Amino acid sequence: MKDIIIYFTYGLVSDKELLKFLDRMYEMGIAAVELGVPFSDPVADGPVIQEASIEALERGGTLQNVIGFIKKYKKSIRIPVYLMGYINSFYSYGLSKFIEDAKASGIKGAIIPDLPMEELNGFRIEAKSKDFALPLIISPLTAENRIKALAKAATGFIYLVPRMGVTGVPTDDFDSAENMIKQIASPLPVYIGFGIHDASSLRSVMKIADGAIIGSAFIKRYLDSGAIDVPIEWLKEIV
Amino acid sequence: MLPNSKGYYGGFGGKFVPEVLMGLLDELEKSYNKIKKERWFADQFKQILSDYVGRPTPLYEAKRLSRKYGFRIFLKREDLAHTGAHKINNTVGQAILAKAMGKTDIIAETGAGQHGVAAATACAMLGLKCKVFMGEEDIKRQHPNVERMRILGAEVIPVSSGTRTLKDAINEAIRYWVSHADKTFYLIGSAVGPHPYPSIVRDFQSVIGTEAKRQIKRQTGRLPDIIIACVGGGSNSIGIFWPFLKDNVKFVGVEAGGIGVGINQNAATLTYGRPGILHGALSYLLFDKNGNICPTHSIAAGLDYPGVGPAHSFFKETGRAEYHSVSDKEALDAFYELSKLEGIIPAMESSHAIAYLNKLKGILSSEAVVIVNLSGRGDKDLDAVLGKTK
Repeated sequence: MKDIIIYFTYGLVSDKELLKFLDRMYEMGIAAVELGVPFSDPVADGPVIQEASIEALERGGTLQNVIGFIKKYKKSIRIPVYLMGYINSFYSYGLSKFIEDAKASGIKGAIIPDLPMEELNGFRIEAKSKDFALPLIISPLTAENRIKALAKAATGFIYLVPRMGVTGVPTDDFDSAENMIKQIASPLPVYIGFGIHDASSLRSVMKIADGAIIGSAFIKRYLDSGAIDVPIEWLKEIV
Repeated sequence: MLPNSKGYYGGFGGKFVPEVLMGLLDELEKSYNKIKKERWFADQFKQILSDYVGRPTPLYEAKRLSRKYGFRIFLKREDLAHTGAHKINNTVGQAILAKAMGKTDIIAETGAGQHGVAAATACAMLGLKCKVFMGEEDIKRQHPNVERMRILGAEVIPVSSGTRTLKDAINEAIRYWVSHADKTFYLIGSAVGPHPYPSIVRDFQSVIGTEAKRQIKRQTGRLPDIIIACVGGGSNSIGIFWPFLKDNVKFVGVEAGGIGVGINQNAATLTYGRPGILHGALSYLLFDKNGNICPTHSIAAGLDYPGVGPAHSFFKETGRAEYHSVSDKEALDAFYELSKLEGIIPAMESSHAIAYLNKLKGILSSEAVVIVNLSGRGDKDLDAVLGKTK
């Protein structure tokens, strides 16, 4: 059985609802949830996650609150939780303090799209020593020798993006992703994210990777309906 | 060596961008380092700057202004450069670079519209396609520049996300760049962004300081005591400061103090900010306790930005430059003062640098020599100024 990871922006729903949501994800066999840390200037995100971020920010979605939430319900959360956010949120929180607090609360790791492998080396070393995962992204423009270096430096999993561009633009072409996977020699699972939008694109991804990350297509259904059941029902249909 | 090989000025700079752009930045750095040493590039850049941009721009001793303040004031007349501001120095340089790299699709962001116009101009002259991202708020306050860009053949893309100003125009330009990374050259307008941009922009704008140094020596027989320039992202200021880096000359950067010290009341990044990461670089930044970027305000659209180039953060930390802010009102007073005393209508951005002269009154001796970088002309600001003073 391959892995499905769901991205959901923290702060969009109340903590109580989120807790229930995490439980339902676990019951459905979802491998992990990435909670998005809302940021004022999400340059790697398309309109859907931008809108989710703005709404979540207005409702008080912050890094401090998401860590507090996971910590508070640590015992009842059964699904692995990662954070996904922009570097300034973590930098502003204090990088060492972040690793310490996030690790203590039970968060598995953080995906930071605007933090490339070369920057803030001390943060990467400290995270590794504390067994806090910092997965890295591989893009279709990443050169072969760099793919190898990224696969080596990543921890937790490898996040493969099948096309150029921001989140939320649907794609059905996974040929370049398939080629890239062949170049990755790593014991870590390789997950494909960005652009998975229906049953067919999910099937294509599951054929070539260890798992799929679904974000915008899920959140869009929540934003359009205002009901968390709507994206969950959709997910059941496509899985 | 500034910056170091990783693009850092001391602790500031770097490349904080999505992975898809890393290869491109690497390619840009390699191409730039190679091309900048080639004879044809230096020749072409120099020729366009002289025959097309109209360089060297004059260094003008503003005698009536000097009499009022009690020391010698020289204005570096970037307002007389083609398109009316220093921005053209950089757009010509980057457009030649883009062309040499085989890139034909140029994107740019703009706040006041000056960089957008300068980018559209350089692209028209060199036969490149140009898209300019501009916040809807700025489109309203700088409408003549929007029309100029369109006349010049550029496509102006209104940005309706976030605060609808320069910061969001950059966000949208980055999103477009990430989506069309293989074909597009991002022509950044200020000394900001991921390495190597801050250094590329600094190099192209250094023509301002190089000329000023020659001119002031010729006119006064010595170097200036102080150089004053406004700082938004910091391109005109780094351009005039840089060639004087090792000289005994004091640098003063003047930021937009807006209407107060609170959030959304100013854009004085070095005055009120702290180190953070936005738009590809670690530098001083205005952000809240949760790391979210603060909205900013300035009467000058070109200064209305929550970040600043990494070289300025380094100058602040090391004490090489001083940074101060002046209010909208002080800038507006300076705008009228220079117009009435010298017959020069300055850009609202440059008016901030002029306004700082008032703080030196009675402090400097009559022998003192001060250069103010008059980074642009004020025609574009008439609507905004008249609206404010009605």
